[in-house]
Amino acid sequence: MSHDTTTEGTDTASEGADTISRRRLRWERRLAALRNWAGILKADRLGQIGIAILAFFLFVGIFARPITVEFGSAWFQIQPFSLAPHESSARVADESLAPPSREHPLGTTSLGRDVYSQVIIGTRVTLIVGTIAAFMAVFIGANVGIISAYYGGWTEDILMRITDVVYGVPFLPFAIALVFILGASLVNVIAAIVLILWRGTARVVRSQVLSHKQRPYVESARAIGASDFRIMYVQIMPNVLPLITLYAAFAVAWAVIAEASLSFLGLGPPGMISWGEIIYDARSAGALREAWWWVFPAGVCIMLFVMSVFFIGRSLEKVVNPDLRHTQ
Amino acid sequence: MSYAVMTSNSRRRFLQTIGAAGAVGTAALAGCFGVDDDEDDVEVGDEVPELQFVFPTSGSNPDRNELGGFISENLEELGFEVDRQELDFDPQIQQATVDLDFGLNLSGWGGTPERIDPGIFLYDMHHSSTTGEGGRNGAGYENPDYDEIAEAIMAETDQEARRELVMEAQEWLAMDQSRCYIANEGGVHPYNAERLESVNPGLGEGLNGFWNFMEAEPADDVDQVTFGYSSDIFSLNPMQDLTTPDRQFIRLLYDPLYRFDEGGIPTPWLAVDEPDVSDDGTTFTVEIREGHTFHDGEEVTTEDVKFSYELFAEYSPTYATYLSGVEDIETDGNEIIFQLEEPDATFASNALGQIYVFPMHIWEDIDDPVNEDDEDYIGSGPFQFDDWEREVEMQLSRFDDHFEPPNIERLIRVPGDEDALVDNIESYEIDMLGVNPTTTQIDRLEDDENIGMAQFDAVGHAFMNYNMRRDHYKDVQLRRAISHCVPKTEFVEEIRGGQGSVTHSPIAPAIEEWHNPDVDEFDGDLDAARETLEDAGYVWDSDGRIHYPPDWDDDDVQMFLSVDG
Amino acid sequence: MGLREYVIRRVFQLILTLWTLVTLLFILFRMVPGDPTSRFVMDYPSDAERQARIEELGLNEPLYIQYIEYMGQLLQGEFGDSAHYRQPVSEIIFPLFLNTIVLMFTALIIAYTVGILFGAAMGWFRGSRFERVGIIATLVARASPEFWIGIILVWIFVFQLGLFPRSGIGGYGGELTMNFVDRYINFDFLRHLILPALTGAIVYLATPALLMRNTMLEVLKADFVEIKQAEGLPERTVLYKHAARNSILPLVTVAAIATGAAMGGSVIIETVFNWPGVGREMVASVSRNDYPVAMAAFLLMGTSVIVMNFVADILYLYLDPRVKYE
Repeated sequence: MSHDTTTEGTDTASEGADTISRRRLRWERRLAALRNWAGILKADRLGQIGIAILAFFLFVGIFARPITVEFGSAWFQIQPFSLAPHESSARVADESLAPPSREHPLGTTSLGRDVYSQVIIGTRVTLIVGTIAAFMAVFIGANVGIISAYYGGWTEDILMRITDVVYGVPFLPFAIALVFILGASLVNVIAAIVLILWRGTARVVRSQVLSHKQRPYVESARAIGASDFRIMYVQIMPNVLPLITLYAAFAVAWAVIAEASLSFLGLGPPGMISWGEIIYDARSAGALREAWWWVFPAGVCIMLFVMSVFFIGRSLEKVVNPDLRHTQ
Repeated sequence: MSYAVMTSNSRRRFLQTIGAAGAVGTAALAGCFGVDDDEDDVEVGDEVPELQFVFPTSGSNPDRNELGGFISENLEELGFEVDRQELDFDPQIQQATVDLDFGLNLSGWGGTPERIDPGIFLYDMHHSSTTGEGGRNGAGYENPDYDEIAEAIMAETDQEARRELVMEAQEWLAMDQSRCYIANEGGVHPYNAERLESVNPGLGEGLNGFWNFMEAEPADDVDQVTFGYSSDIFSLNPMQDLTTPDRQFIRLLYDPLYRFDEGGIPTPWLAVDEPDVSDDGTTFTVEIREGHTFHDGEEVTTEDVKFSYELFAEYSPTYATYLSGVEDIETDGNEIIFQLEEPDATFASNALGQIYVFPMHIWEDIDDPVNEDDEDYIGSGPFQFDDWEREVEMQLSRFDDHFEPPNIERLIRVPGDEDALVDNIESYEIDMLGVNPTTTQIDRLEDDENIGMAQFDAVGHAFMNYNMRRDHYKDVQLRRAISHCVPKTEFVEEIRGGQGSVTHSPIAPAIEEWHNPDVDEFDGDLDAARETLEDAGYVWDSDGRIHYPPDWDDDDVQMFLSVDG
Repeated sequence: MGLREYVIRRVFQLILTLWTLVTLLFILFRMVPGDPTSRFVMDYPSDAERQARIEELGLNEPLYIQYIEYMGQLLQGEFGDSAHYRQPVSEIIFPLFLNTIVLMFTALIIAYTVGILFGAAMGWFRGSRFERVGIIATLVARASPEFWIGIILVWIFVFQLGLFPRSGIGGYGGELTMNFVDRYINFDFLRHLILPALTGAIVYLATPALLMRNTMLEVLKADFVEIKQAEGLPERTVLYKHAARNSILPLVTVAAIATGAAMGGSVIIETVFNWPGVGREMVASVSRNDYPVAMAAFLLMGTSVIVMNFVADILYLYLDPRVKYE
């Protein structure tokens, strides 16, 4: 698998240049990857769709309900709009378990709650868990990968053995057990996801860094006495960043499905409505058979969100693996 | 954007809910920022501590979960801070009943015919001796004067006198509100009306009742009846810990001397007649019927009875207590004589009505009855055991040689998820269900002509305990005020779709003989709650948060209304 | 270092991983608040009885002693007795495990058969509308949570069309046999198997489909296709041969890994379809604090995953001559 190797020559050549332009060159390098991706996206219809859908969800999530911050005894509403006409737990309908109507575009639940509002508000949990869990997992995984590959020896052995053990832990049963032990809360759900999810990134980053370790630019950096930290994070890391980003994208997808699964089993963060939990409520009420308006939208949202992330991931894959560029 | 100041209360709630990662908000506002105005601050003492509210998750009990939400909202509106802790079934038992780590605990108590005697509800649950970990007095109610009444109820043999005491006890409990009784969750169990011509739902148990299995009439061509329940049986061995479904099926396979009839009175079963009680009340003589055999053909003799009672006394965690007063057991032909140390009015219903007769010829060879059992579960009951695969099904068939054989020829017990089981009834794959469907499902089932709905009253109830071991719950007025925040009628009418009935007493209205309808009532009245708090001296700050007055003294707190009249 | 040394080293790592997993699980489950007697707490006449029971279960001994006893037991192939069922755990778990394996295997077989064919077709018809729609369909399948697909299938085929049963593994009242053929090779069981297996299959087929498509595309690009064509061989035969050869490696390794992963993922499908399997039992026993059962269930699933990963590694080595044994 070939990766972006165009940067190395630049670095060696910049040896003699002064600090400022070296830094500028590094930024250029990073931006180059980004520009690369932008270029790919122009031709990648699915990737564009993915970004559009994701942007849409982001918009919905932010503007779902007003957001207020409090400073002492003053309060300030930093987001005053509310896309959701009702609170997720407010019993507002005249008729419970009613199919979609003008007043309630997605119908009502068995207790007279507005499904449309619930679906809108549920976007937030998806966004929060998806991004936080994914980025934490990738952060940990990438670091484990870089550190183990760079230092080798005992460090690598131990870290990789740990990774092996984590690979052997089946995800959902572990998350279930963890939530039972620690109790259901947003933090615990994210923790359960992160504790398993990091393993994929770790392995992949490690093998990447291993191949980079031998390259001339690393050796020359060592030769001039650069610290390990510098070499790992300033020299090598940027080259691995496209790969890490790719895995971050997939991590978001898995984290969202994981949270939805946990919520479906009733183990999701309490007090916050999430898409998985909407389906769990419908099932608990015994409404699966008839209330398609209650069950269907939440599932479609999960599917769309994850799908859009996959589309974006595929376009990122082309940055990382140029061979794929000419495929659709 | 305009400047607006919200009212204290609504702003408090608003900010509270915003605090949680901005995930839930209140109604959209016209304003976008504001400052607290601190004028007219009432003199306030300490804040009343946060109320730790434990209640079931919506997966483990959707109705009570909703109620928990309503109660919390009411409390918050009143100015309390509520720490909502939604727990699954087992964790809730662990935390609230064993660890006693709760402020308010929303739970329930199941009802079976064996639990109709008021002693259980009035003594077990409120006497000061059962306030320990795992005890039934979850609230920690310790009222010495009440203890006297409860003890008298257990000992009193004169029915009239006993009844008066029972009425008084209920009055006291309602005044003191150590536990807020909410509703009897009567229910309805669906069954296939095409395949079953009639069913006989039992008080408190519905289609799980013994008499249902005995008397349910299958249609002519139906020889196999499937019965669904939401969990599998753990054990059919009374020497082990038993859950409710375990008990319900053990009584099909084994016979006791007396059985509880549908009214909850023990009537002769293996016994021929009422027990002959000596004048001093310490000797019980029972004559058993002749010619009855176990499923393997061996005759049931008094030796088996004696053996069984001794077996239970030694090994059974649940039943051994009923036999603790038994000094000696003798057999004489067809008669068996129990010699008690002291007179015990409950011996007939507790022991004689619940201890099962086990085949001595099988069990005397079992070295460790607690960990091993008879895998064929040979008993003498109306049904005999055929086969069992855990989590899949259990197969029983009629014992034709029984003196009262059931109408059902073959009974299949199917465990499963409630959601799937109701679907199975709707698609006619299962004939009877021993669980309550949700309101949504009930609506659907009622529309189906082929499905019958068996209504039944409940003996048990839903309740909310106050943890009186914590200082702030010691104030009886606070408890009463919180009880006013429980919307009982809404719970029954809206959440449960009309299933069940409101109650203010531990004894269900269905038990007419013992139920006291004239006790203090609390039913979702926030004005009454506020008034109660005000009268008791509580004050509110400008945010609407409830506080103690500055001159509050914990030692002056009134714990009971009952004793001081 | 040769193949043999590598395999030995990997086996050793396998054992180490398994041991760590067991220890981790042991600690994890002991941390769940409560114990097996908790749910019966109100039935014990007094606390003394309950403590006696706890002692009988060996739960008040120090943790490290319990651990040593458990490990000793495990090495003898014993899972101990269930705290609630009072039966040996192995007797309880074995039929459930079998149910899960049958379900997951069927799902994977369908997934890989359909996935490979579909993927090859997509590659073959590259650039066509079929391929574009195919990719989207594949990604939609992959993006949908398992419970979601299960619910949709139930809705269509059980509620609306009434073609299949809602739950369970068979009709009621039949003979309860442990004989594999009698249990699983009958029409009634297959009727119950279809929907849950299909649910799993839909989710799992995305990987082999995309993999096969990529292989197809690579092979199509390669030069030797034209060479072979020049030799007179039809394009299709060449493609099949080379596609097959190139795809075996990644497909087999991915299949091995997927098998392991499926074991862990069965929880959701078993919950939706009320399938009496080991995943569902694991959740139930954790909630009841029945440690021996929970441990055994988790161990079975975890071991399957680890072993299949190991198998994947070995197969990879075996099939790919280019890889060095590092």
